Amino acid sequence: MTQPAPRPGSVYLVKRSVSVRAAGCSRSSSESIQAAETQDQAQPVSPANPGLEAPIEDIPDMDDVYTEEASDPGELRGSSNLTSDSASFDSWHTYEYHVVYHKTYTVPVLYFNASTLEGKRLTVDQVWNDMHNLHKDSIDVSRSSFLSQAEHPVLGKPFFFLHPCQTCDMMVALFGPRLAAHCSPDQPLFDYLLAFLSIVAPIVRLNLPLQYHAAQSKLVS
Amino acid sequence: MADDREIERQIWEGKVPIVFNLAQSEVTGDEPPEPYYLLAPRCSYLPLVTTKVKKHFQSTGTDTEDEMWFDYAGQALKWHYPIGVLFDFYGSPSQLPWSVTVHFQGFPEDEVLRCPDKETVETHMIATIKEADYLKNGSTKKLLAMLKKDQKQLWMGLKTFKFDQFWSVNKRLTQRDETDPFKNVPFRIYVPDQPVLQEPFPPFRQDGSEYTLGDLLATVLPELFPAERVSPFLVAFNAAAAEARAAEGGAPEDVPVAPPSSLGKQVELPQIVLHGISPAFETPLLWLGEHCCYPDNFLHICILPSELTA
Repeated sequence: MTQPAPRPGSVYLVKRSVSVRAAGCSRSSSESIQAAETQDQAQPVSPANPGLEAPIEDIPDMDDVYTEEASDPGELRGSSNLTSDSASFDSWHTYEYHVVYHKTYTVPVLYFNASTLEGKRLTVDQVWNDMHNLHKDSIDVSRSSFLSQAEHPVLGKPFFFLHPCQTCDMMVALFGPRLAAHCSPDQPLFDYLLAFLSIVAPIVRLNLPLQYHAAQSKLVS
Repeated sequence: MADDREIERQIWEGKVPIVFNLAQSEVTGDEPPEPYYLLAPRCSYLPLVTTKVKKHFQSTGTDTEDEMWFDYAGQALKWHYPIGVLFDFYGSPSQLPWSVTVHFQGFPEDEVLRCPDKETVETHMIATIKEADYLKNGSTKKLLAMLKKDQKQLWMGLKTFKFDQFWSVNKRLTQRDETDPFKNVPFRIYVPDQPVLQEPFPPFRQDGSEYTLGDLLATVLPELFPAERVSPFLVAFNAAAAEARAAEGGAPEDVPVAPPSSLGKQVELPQIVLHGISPAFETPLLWLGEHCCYPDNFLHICILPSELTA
């Protein structure tokens, strides 16, 4: 129960860090998309990185830095009450995202941590404030059944996560009868992951550009 | 069956004597404040039983602005593990009362979940019960079908630690229907320096007989629990599988032969601790799952170095 190393069988799928500016209207994101897996996972997440543990090299074409302007400053409202003594950095939050396979629900789960630039970890209230209202309004369960803190299944450290118990239903709704094929070990899993990410990532400010999806689809096909 | 219900009650009534001392570095006066003694239920959680601990240290003038947290011998204690698990894993029955250090500064955010209020414990407990429900039934329908009122009773039963209040609802989640048995037995296994082990594991073999605790351990921790020591079933199963492959004409050298265990017969196996006792390897897993779960509906099994090497 100390700080363990990833063990075989615990599957890390994707890891990524992003900084978002919570209180302003611009955001820059320095991307480092990394795929990793442990040895007994049948399908490499990225063909460029087969059979490796821990974070590894960047996926080609995706290591550039991009900046974009949010079109509507209003969509970031509700987050300006984050406080800090340092005026220049108070509104910047760093997010780290991990996708981990959940052995009970047998689906991917988005785990993430967020901190201020001084390294102070955000509270669940602050993370909630960072989320887009659009998503908050469409949640039909209590906040705590949607977003909470839990022990990261591989690292054993506190992380936030989006509850996985409805993910399977969501993916079935998305893929329908094709889902079985997407889960088979002979089929590439990555478009399953892309579909999963395309739904859950925007909820927690993980903006994957279209090029990312396109590049991954190319790698799969 | 009545006897077995008695087991649930006895497990519920298990307690750990704890002495709480303020961390040396946080003592403000000349003298450290008096320690606080508590007989804590094994099945409860630290935030649910330490309100008085906090009040005690507050009354002695300690600065309690930050969230309270605990360590034992420098090891931060994760409140989201039941107290019994924390004691079985870190403590020792030969050193009682269990000496736990209280902190109100420097919350270890990298190790311990934040627990600003008791509702956080409720959320955690209900989410864990839901997960157990999913493992047992393949869905969370049992819990979701439960009225909000009953879920509340489940939580209040644990919070106020009333056996009848808790079990009158919980028995609906743990009861096994003969025609619809558990799909999996929910377990979490704690091994030093490893992530918590958890995966779906069925209670029945293909032939309908029951898996034992030894079968489970030999499957998920084969290096620590060699099948030849703890699981006659797996040994026989592997031998039969090898024979079948040989009969099909597979070259014998293709048959994976289990390497002779590096642990000789003389080496003590690690200790298994569940609710403070060491269950036998032959114990049927299903029986454990039905009667020896913590209130979160999981079996929490601690693996410790053998007494000889500890």
